[in-house]
Amino acid sequence: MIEVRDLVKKYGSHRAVDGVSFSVARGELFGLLGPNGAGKTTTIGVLSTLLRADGGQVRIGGHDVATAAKDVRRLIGVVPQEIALYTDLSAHDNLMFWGRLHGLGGAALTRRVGDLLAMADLADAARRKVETFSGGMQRRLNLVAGLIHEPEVLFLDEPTVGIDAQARTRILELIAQLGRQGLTVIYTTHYLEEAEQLCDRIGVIDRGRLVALGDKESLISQIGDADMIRLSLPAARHEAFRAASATWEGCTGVGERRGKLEVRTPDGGRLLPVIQDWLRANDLPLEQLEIERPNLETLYLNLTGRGLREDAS
Amino acid sequence: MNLQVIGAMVRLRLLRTLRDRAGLVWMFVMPMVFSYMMGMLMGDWSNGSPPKRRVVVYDQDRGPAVERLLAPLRAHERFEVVVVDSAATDARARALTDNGGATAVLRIPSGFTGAMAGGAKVDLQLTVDGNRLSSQTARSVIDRSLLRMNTEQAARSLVAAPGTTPGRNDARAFDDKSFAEGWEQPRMRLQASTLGRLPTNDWGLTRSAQHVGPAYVLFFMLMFMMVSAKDLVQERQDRTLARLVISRASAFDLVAGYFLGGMVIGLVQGAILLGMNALAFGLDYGDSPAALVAVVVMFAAFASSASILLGTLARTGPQADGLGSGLTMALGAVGGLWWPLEVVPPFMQAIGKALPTGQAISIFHGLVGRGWGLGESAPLLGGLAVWFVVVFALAAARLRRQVSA
Repeated sequence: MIEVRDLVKKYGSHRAVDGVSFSVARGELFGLLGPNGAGKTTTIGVLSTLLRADGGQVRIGGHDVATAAKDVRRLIGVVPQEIALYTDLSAHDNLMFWGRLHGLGGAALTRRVGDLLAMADLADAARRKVETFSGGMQRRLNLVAGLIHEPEVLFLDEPTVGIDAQARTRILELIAQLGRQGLTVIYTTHYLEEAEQLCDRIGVIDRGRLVALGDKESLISQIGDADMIRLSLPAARHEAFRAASATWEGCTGVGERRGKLEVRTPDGGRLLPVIQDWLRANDLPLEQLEIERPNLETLYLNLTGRGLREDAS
Repeated sequence: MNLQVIGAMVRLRLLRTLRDRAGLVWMFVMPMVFSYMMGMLMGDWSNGSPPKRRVVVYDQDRGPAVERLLAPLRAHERFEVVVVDSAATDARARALTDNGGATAVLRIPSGFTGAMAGGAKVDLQLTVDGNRLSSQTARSVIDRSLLRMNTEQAARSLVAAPGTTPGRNDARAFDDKSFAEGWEQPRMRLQASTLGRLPTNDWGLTRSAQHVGPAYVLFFMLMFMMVSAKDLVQERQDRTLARLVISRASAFDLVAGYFLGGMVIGLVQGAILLGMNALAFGLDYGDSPAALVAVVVMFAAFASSASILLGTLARTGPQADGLGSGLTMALGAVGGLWWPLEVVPPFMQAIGKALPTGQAISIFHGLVGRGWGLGESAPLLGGLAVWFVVVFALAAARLRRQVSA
């Protein structure tokens, strides 16, 4: 459904998107994961015909976005990161307007607007001004406004930014529902748990480059011996810990990050008691000990040397 | 061109305007308040029971012709005539007019009644303040009264010798020479002098409402459009513009939708305000509906284009707000919407009439005060059209660039 080949987008000398390639099958829910400034929104901008690429090729439904933007626009819906609605109008008036803009009218439009308001749980608030809505309600309306013309492909650009956990859960349920209905979705986020929860496949983007691509399991398998045990020790004891760890079976390395020691091992469950024994023998506290299973965060860390949240914050 | 898209955008603009109560107050209520207040400040008001303006008459003649001359002035609802049986110097008359003691000072020399009866010619001295419409009105009333008396005197001279009273059957042959002399060299002449601040002999308005009414209609049409430029900035920032772009709307549709939306709002506002002014202040916009429609349509088109141009130039909403208000104030003041261009020096009048606001209000002055039609309005309408075309071309080019990938 979507083919992206060697996509390049520059702002002056800065390459915001630098040779990105991926494809998305019809009905697939594809996640573009990366911190703020990684190039996600720019990629969506080119795919949705809002920005002109400086290199590469993008085809959606067989149409080139550069030469057949009109045809592409018939296929796509876009949900921007911002609340792209007229907040001084009601939810109903907003959807009616966007429907008319897409050529809908009459009873069909009224019916479609009713369906979407129900889908977003906003039927009771349909006549209220959007500016009186909570953040979550605005996000849900923003999302269904992108569906008014029943697109085949939906671009969702960080649709859960700035809302509480409950509202986020409702949005994610809505998106999952769209996925089950067979809509092709490209979903950008810097929340890895959202990408893990929702997406069939994930592309990890960093500084304009796609650094990893695949389903969740295959991405995590790239990490290899990925269990990580973290502990806090006084700096003076780090050397002694490193020396002891060299003798432990299953310990494949010790690193240091933000003052914490990080012990890599294929099986954290087996190594953990060994470390606890050493701590007791050396009169050191056990409270600051934690074990982390392989996940996208560790993948991102491995690929970029930085945490997602570090860049996002 | 997609008419459904353009129609939806126009409808959206109307809907948003109607839902904005504060905006409606600024669109319709404030212009009327400003018209009323500025009309009061300009010292001339025709509705209700305004205080009478004083016309001081220094009467050295004390004959019956004086009363006949002053009769229309006494009958006028806006004037109070105060007759003083003495003489006054030129300086005294100017001072009295200048300090507001009188709206006009008329000095009648002795011999006035004699001149009416065919005696020696006399000159009456009238001092007025050209800045005050009431002064102009007083002058007009006195002028007409004197013209009537001179005409009567000329006619009388045709049927009886000077100094005699014509008998019932005293008809003489019509004497062209006597009539021409009586008409061209009247026995009683009015020498009018103003305080020297305003050459307003030909602007034809007799009430301040005739200026402030249309002026504040134009001012608030422009103000509303310019301030609404921030909506376009907002749409760019919150990405509704991006959402519009990826709909079925072409760049042409978007330009047309924004432009026509603004025009419709401007026309509705203009029509309602002009109607309200006509009803509330008894304004008559002249005999040429075509010229009236043309100036309102052209001005609304200019204002809508200017709004789009500002919306595409401003980076933030507050910037659009500030620039829009500032430009409207400047165009209003220099273009003669706050005060008539006729009261400013000639070079400022030239600048004012080069501006769209100056062109539009000058057309209104012509329609209301001088009975202009399309023909007389055409040069200024042409100027307004040039402003519209230039600003629209710039606005359309910038908006097209912003909505194109």
